[in-house]
Amino acid sequence: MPDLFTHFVTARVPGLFVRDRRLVALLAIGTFLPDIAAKGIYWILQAGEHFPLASHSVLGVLLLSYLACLFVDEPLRRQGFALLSLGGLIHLLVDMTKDNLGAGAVYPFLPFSPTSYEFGWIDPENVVLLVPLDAALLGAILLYERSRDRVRQ
Amino acid sequence: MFSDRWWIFKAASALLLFGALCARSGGLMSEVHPPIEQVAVFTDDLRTKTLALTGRKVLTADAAGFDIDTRVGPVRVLTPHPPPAGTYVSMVVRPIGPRTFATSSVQFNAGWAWKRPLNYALSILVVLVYAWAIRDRFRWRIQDGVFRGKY
Repeated sequence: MPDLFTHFVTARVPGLFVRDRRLVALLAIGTFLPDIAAKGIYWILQAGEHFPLASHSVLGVLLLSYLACLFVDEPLRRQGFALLSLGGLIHLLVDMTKDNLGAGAVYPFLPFSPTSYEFGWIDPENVVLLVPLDAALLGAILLYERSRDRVRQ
Repeated sequence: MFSDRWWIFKAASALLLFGALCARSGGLMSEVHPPIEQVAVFTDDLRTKTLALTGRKVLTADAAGFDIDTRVGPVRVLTPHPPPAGTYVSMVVRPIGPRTFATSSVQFNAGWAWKRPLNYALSILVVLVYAWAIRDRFRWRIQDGVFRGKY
């Protein structure tokens, strides 16, 4: 699995187009949710290895996002659900870049279809080596946001 | 759907639906790609299945193949190019007999022993630091059961 720092940075790119800082936060939290749910189910609930796979499906992302959006303010909830879902779907796209030997990295259409998909671009264990690149990208995003806010003021 | 009305009912329903989704999906996936522990008791219908195994340590290796550790004990993987003992591998395999697999592809996971822990440590750190960083964007009102926006 790609580390959550990589997931976080990929969510911060579309986050540049979101003005409300709370919604940006929900977008980032949305990218964390599939892995937090999957690892929680696997490690804490000690479920079988196939049980948490649905957290990395479209339906799973929507359900997790709906559950999470119930914990934010009512006026923010509808937009929050959209941003949490977008974050979750970005997570699935990033996971699909992994090379899982053709076995597939993501099962987006569970429980209707067990078909899996992957782009096969990078060894899953080597994603962590992208951290310096992620950090540079995050630094650029933060600098851009700071200069943009200064211009607005 | 997004109002405060019947909040607890909505949250419980979402949780139950997610649990049902996981159970249904897990059952479906187990039919297509049975867990390795299930393959220890070999039946002929397993010959058509494939399993994706991630980060398995090679216990011993010889010219015909290698052994990996599982929760039900060591299993044999047959391959013409076995990796050396002590390395970690990911692979797609097909059951061909009791505790015996044939590989269709093998990936050497160099640095597994430090890359995976680094991945987890970094991920946990990112979640904790980010939760701390955005704490001023929300405030917890436990009596309402929701995070309230500060703005």
